[in-house]
Amino acid sequence: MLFCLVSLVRERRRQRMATDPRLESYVASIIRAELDGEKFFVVAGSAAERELLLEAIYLVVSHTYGIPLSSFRELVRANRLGEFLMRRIAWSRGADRARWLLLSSVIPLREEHIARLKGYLHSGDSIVRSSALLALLSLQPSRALQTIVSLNYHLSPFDVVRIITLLRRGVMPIAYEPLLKSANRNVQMVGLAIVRSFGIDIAEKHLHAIISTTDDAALAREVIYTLSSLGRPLGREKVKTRLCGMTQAERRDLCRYLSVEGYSMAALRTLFTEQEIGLNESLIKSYKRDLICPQANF
Amino acid sequence: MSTSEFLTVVISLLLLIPILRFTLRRIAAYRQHRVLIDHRAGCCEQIGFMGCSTVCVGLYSLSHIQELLSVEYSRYELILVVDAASDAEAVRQIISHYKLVRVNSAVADSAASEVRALYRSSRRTFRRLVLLDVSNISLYDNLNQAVEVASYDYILPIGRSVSLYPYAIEALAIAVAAADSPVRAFRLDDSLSCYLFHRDSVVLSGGFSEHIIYQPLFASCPTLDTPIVFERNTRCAYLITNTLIIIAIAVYVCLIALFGNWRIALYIGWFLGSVLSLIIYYNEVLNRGNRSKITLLCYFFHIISFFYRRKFYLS
Repeated sequence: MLFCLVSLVRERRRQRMATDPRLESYVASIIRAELDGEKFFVVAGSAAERELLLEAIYLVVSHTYGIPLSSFRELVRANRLGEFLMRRIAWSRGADRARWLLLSSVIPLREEHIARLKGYLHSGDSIVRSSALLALLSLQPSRALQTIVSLNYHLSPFDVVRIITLLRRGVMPIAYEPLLKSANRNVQMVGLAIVRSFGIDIAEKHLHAIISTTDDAALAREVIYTLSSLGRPLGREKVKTRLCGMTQAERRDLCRYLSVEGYSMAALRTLFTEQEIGLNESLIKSYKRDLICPQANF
Repeated sequence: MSTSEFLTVVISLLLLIPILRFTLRRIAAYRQHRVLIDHRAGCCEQIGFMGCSTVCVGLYSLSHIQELLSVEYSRYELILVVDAASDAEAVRQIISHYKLVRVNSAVADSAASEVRALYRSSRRTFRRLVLLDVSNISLYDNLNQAVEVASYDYILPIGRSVSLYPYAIEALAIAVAAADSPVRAFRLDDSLSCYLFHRDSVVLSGGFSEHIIYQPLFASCPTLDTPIVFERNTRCAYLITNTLIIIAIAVYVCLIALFGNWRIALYIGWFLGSVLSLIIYYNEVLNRGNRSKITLLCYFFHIISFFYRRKFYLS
């Protein structure tokens, strides 16, 4: 019961922080300062105020484009926000640590602090790893590729989505061609996600090159899905060979994906058997409508 | 300590520990989920090509439909299975509100089929809504018909009174994408008997039935701790939980009267107080307001699940 009481108090404090009027006033002040071209400056008197300041900066930066992190340098130095963040990251665990890591992604930190963040890239907790990766990519966009190459695990599809979100926000300037040509699997996956997300049709030849050369079946499957999301034809021999190497379940999943993406029955017949297509004929048909329909029953 | 006191303590601990574990795991998963679904994450994009078709049988409420359609995840659709003959006016309202048009369907065209018609929306905004008009057959046959017309690989059957937590589909997509091996099913909620199925697994097990989860394919399906679904306050839930509370108080009073032992009364009081604190803490974190009775039901079914897995059904 005591544990619940303590946890309840902490939870109430967390919820109260989200509606704290000081948070609103910090957010308004930061926005006003940015619009007027001035520097926002305030001295936080307590740990709670430091936390609110960090939340305010995070809220503003994550909902806007183009605010340079350097505009908060004086604020960070005066309030020792870097040291505060590093302490909180070190003392916390799990989701709390991940949250603090995400907050660190919008603060101009010193080099030694950024070096400490790199240690969390190899954490046993996947959510901490993911948040540390996002923080480092935001803080050092010019070293994004090196950071991704240095990872000793495969990026999950969710990690890739979050990296693409950073790209969309203009945080990381990365061209797709070097990524697709890279020998590192994580880098290639990010490249494929960029092609998919931005609908880069002209990347088709690079995608076919990966299908021809890679030994990684999962990567080849990802490339085929990427080609289909671009609506590109899939009739080449290399693609058919890869399809033959898939399991029945994978072929069925892909067939359904192609049906939903809008491929016609004729296109599917070149890739799948009649039995496999038969399951999807109804689905494809249901996306169409006859010119003459029977009347409804009521 | 007498034997009865010892037994009271042991039984209290045996009941309290799984409840505590369940609460802490759920809350940790929820907190983790809140961090993952950060407003910068852009989770409305597809995650690992995973798509989910939510199937609901006999839902006619426009507000509830709108709530289920407000999912941001891109590869998502809502399949409503209705019987237009039993409530023609409600179905007409749904068709008119969402600008649904009847489309071709090999399933509906078949003479022996119980499916009368398949509708999709002519408006892009509502393209994720599919309406299936069937003759009133069994719940499980309705679900099987819905699987035939579903566009995506994962099927989430939910009851009429069930809603999704915010970003529930994103949580499912993350869990599926992060799984080491292909996912056949996820157990989502014991009290609602809610599962996420892979279409292939449903087909291989012969379609939906009340015994589907007893099939070998689903014998070891993992449990997802992140809260995905919750039941809106229903009359049945109030009835059951009020009954449970009355039974618990009656047992408490009987035990005190029987043993006349203040220690036993203390231990039981401590146990009930601990459970109540956990309920309050759980509701506070998940922002579920005053839904203590439903949380108590969740705990009850979680304890039951150690001995018996409920049949698959929709509320």
